[in-house]
Amino acid sequence: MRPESGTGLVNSALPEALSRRHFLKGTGAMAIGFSLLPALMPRLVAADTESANGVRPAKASSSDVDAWLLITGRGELVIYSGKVELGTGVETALRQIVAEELLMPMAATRFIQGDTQLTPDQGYTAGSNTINQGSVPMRRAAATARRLLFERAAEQLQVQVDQLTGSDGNIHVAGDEAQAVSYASLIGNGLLEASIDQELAFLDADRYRLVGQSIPRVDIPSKVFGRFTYVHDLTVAGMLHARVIRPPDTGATRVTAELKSVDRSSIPAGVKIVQRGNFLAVVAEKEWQAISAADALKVEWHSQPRLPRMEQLYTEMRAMQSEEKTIASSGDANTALGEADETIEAVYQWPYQMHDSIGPSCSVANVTADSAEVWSSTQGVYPLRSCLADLLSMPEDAVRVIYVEGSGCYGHNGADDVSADAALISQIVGKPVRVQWSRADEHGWNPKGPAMVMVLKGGLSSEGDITSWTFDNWTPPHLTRPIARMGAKNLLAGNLASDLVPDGPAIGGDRNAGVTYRYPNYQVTTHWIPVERSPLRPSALRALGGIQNSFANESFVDELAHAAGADPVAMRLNYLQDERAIAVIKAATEKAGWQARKSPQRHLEHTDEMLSGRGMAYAQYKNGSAYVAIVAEVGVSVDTGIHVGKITVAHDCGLIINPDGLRNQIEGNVLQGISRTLKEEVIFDQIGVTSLEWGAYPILTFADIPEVDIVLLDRPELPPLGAGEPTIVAVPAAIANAVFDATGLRLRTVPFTRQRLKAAFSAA
Amino acid sequence: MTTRMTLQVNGEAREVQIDATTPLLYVLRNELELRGAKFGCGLGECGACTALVDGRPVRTCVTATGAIGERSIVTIEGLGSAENPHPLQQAFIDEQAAQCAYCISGMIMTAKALLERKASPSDADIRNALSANLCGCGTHLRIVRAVQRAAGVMRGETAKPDDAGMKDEGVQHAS
Amino acid sequence: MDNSGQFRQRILVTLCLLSAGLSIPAGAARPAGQTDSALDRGRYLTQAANCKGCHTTILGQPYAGSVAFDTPFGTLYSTNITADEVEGIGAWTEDEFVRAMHEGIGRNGQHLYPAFPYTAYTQLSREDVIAIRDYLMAQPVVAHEVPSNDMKFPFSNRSLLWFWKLMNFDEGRFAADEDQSEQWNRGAYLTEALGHCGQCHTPRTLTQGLDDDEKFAGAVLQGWRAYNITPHETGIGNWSGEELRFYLSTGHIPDKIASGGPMADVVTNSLRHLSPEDIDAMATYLETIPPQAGIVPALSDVSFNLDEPAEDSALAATMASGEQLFETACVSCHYPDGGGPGGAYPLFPHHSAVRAEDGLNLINVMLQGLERHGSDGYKFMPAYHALMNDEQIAAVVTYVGRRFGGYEADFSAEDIRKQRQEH
Ligand code: FES
Ligand code: FES
Repeated sequence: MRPESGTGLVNSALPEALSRRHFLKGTGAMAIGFSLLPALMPRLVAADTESANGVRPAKASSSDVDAWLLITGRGELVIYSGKVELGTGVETALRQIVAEELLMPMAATRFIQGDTQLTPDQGYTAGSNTINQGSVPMRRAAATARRLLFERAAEQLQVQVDQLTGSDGNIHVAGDEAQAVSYASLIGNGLLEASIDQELAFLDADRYRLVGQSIPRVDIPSKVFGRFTYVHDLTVAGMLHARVIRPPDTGATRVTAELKSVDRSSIPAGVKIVQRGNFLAVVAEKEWQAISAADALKVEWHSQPRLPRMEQLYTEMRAMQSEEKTIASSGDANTALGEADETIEAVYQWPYQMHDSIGPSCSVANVTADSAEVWSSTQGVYPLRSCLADLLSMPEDAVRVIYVEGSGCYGHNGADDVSADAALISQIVGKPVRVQWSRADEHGWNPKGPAMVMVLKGGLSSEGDITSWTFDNWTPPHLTRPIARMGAKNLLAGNLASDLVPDGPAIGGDRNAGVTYRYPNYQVTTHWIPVERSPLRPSALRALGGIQNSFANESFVDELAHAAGADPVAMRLNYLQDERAIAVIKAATEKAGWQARKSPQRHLEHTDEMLSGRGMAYAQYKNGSAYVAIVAEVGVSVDTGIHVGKITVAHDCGLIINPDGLRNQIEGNVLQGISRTLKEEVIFDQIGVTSLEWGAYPILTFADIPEVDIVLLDRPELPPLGAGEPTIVAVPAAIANAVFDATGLRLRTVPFTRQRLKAAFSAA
Repeated sequence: MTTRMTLQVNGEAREVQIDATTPLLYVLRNELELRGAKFGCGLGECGACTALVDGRPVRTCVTATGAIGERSIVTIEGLGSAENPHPLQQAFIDEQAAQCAYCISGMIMTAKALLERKASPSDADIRNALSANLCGCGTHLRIVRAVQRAAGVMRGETAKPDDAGMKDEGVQHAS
Repeated sequence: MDNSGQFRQRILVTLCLLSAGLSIPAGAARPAGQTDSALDRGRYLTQAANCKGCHTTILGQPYAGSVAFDTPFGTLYSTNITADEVEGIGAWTEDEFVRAMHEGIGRNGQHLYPAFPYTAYTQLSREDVIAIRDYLMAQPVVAHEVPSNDMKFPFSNRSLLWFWKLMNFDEGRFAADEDQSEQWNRGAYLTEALGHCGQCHTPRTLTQGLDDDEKFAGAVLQGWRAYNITPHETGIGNWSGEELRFYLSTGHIPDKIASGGPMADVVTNSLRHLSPEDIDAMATYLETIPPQAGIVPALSDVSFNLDEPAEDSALAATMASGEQLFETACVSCHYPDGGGPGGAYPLFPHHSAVRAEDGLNLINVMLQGLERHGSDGYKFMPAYHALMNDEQIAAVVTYVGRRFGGYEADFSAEDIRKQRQEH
């Protein structure tokens, strides 16, 4: 079934000239190497008659060019992307990259994303991996296609390939534009089949017309006109509205409450109640009816207080049974620590945080006896498909998951869960169903960025050299996303309906734990707490453990600099040899006018005095990706709290695809980073999460925003690296270090609220 | 219990048959298919659902439709279109003031009301006026710039060349 | 344990939407579970005495204690009154429990600080005290250790309390007033003994005893103002009997008054559970309290003709900022003059918090929001403590105070800061 409004298949942000209808009415769209599997054809046609013309099923082999792109007889370039637009601008960037490689104009591109029936399986759109990894096969496919087209043109024009040049979807003989052929005519009446040539060189950087340009984002116009179709805006004929009524143990990893009774008489007739195990929902024709019924329904649950008291969280985490893993080591850190002239130790703590999506998760599903279609803002249509198939007891290939953009997710928010809710309810009622999570659903039930504890020890020689460094952290895994063939345990509906417990691999907690400085002796250890022991359901939140670990590491370098009486910038540079690292630090500190200093400048003496200070932090994201250095300028008083006045960022992510898009991401990282450092903490009691709206879990507002100054270091000859996350990891420590510089108070527990500041002041 | 009522939406009389306590948001989105106003919290906290009622910003998620009466409602769709953009919409495009943009229609509608009452707001005025509208993506800086740009255009100032929304300055070729 | 799961999953789903047409349903207070069994009776009395309110922290388990009380003499923590043998009252004998409630004497014979309202509970019948104990002993055991009190010298010395008690404490059971009706006496027992309303609503003397000459005239406690609840026009004198009864069981009167802060907690934990007969009895009693003048002017005495602040003055800028914030953050729920759409909670001038010139409760509500479960359902307002800064909250409160409270409000960020520290 096709959505009535909005389109599941095609980005509604397309310029009118490229609208799908238009395109599909055009004459014979052809794939390069188009080879539609005949067996799939009838189903596709049945599923979407209109698309039979040009939209073809996902290719079994992603090593074929046409798995990734298709050039139509009208000269349009259709990109099939397994990576999806999450509101970060990657759609525009990917179009730039592919159009560039194929010497085609931006305007000729179309983008089809995240559809298990159409696009390749590229896993999740996450981890800042879209530009650096996700774009590579598309770019290679484009390079291969370009070569094929050039070969064909050479044949047709009777010249050598190297005499040809191309632009705007045309190929002509260099110096003679009259001797030209268009891609469309080259493809128009024949098929080109090819597998991707993995060795082919990309276009030289000096020929870039699109890459490196601030091309405006293709999705923004329809968004500002209120005409963009988010998953929230999708409707399907005959669709019902549902709300899930959840047990009291809000957001807990193990949901153990039991449904004791449901008073069916407490809601008006015409509203259906759906129950499977502890999964309970109301379904109605009108959305407001469903909301009101969910509110009115009298339900009795039986639950136990099973979570730790919040004030004991970190102590309990360190005492939990965990699996120890060495992340990095060199020399003999413990011996060196024993021999050091001075040793210091510090404990850093980071709370559970949630995804700040302004729109709570939403999904539409249409499940019939033998097929399921689910429109979802998931970050991974394929893994979700697999888990939904299990939840619905259907074969995987009977389930189609179609990506439709949602509100910014910043990681694993409720997008997958709400799709499972919709799918399960639709299966039970036998009608298409839309589920819109409430604000409390999203605040309470979306998986949380894990709480972590980091314990660092450092040794200094009498000359102030760092002789030893040890790092231990305690962390749950940062990934309980739906994982292919893991069944329904990582879907809330699975937890509730079938009593399954979430699980996930030991991922994320060690991100940026390792050492990027050249200390003579170091030992970095992660203590993995199993998923089911994490009080709240843990999963991926922007930068995973990178933010927690960098907060600790980069605060501790400053603590060592303080102990050694050294300038924090000079201290860092002493232990760095990587030129790109040095370059970002220099760029940021120069831009900010950093003056060498021994922090703190002053010690706070009265609660009402306002002091200002500067701090810096550096990180190479994932210890192997983009480089970021930040200088933070803060004003601090115990009475009024911490105000971040200015953030200067220097950023090196290799080749820059779209400078303005990059800057947009960096600004977003900075602001969200400040929000997470100063404000955000999930509150829970021994039963579940109690911070269920923005008043209880506040985020940054316009009253809190700093000036942001950005230096972009472009390296056109190097591969592009992702930029959705790197900056955020350096924000917290830069602020903590600036607060120390201003006041002599060292804040080691996030968020840095006024109460924490006051406590630190009283303790000092 | 449903009632028939006529709403004045984007300059047109629209008839709906609804339960009068239904918040305006659901009527706009589901009955009138105007989905530019977004559901964000349902509690009046975030501003994603903002529309103008008699020119004033109203959080439609907490406003009962029955209380609207004859008042004129303007949604983001009524503000302008691709063919005929409102200066605010154009400014948000020019400044690329969006990430996911889920908050943006609420921002634009709230800013519209601000510019009606104050043609030359300071940055601080804009921040204050928008501070009860939440953005999770951290697009705040661009939003302030966009509102400032729109204010200039609405005052009849022509954009200075260095006002260009997308500045590529600050890119250093590091190699 | 059966907990209030409904409360949790249902929280925040809806707001009451229509201001028009809200009327007070007759007999809205639900009859509480009748006293079929001793345990039900114990629960009812425990609720009426609101033990939970003081003995449960925001994130804590019921009755496990640890709520901090800042007094002029230091900080006290409420005790664990679950049946835990070590941390709670599990090992207490019946007589020890009764002695604590009636005489303010702890298990080891020490005097108890009067933050524990034994000055009120002394009036309870032994039977009722035992019913409360039996109920508490049947609740889930929580082995929670309460922090020790942090009293300043010399108040850390409990023997001084002997002297305090001499001045401020009359031990003895409730004695019915033969001249009054049975209903009135029931009301007095509920109000004075079980409900211990005076603990918040009666001003205190220099020695922190209750000043009975000003019974229920209003007082400030824990940063909140408990309003005048005497039948004076500056108290509840202008409320109809029906309104008073509705308020007691719901915590609000539509378009007139809404409770927040500690009173909302009292409604949530205690009053909403009371039977209509008991609500009636309390109201009957309250209506006979000698009227006292309070600090909040009666609506009829407020003039709304304040001079506009001078242009370019700091106050004018504050008002402009406040008006702007009010328009975006507040107006959709609080359309104030009936001249616009929507607004679940309009008619600002009717609220004591808006007319009270100390601005205390208004600031508190802005900072902490409001959450209340009355017998008529759940009410919520977001907390703005981190969604607005001090300057912004000061601006909103100044604007609301001048515009709708009719007084020369001019609050500063500093005023907001001070109130933050009260909590
Ligand atoms: S959705 Fe209406 S204010 Fe958030
Ligand atoms: S741009 Fe995503 S919430 Fe504002």
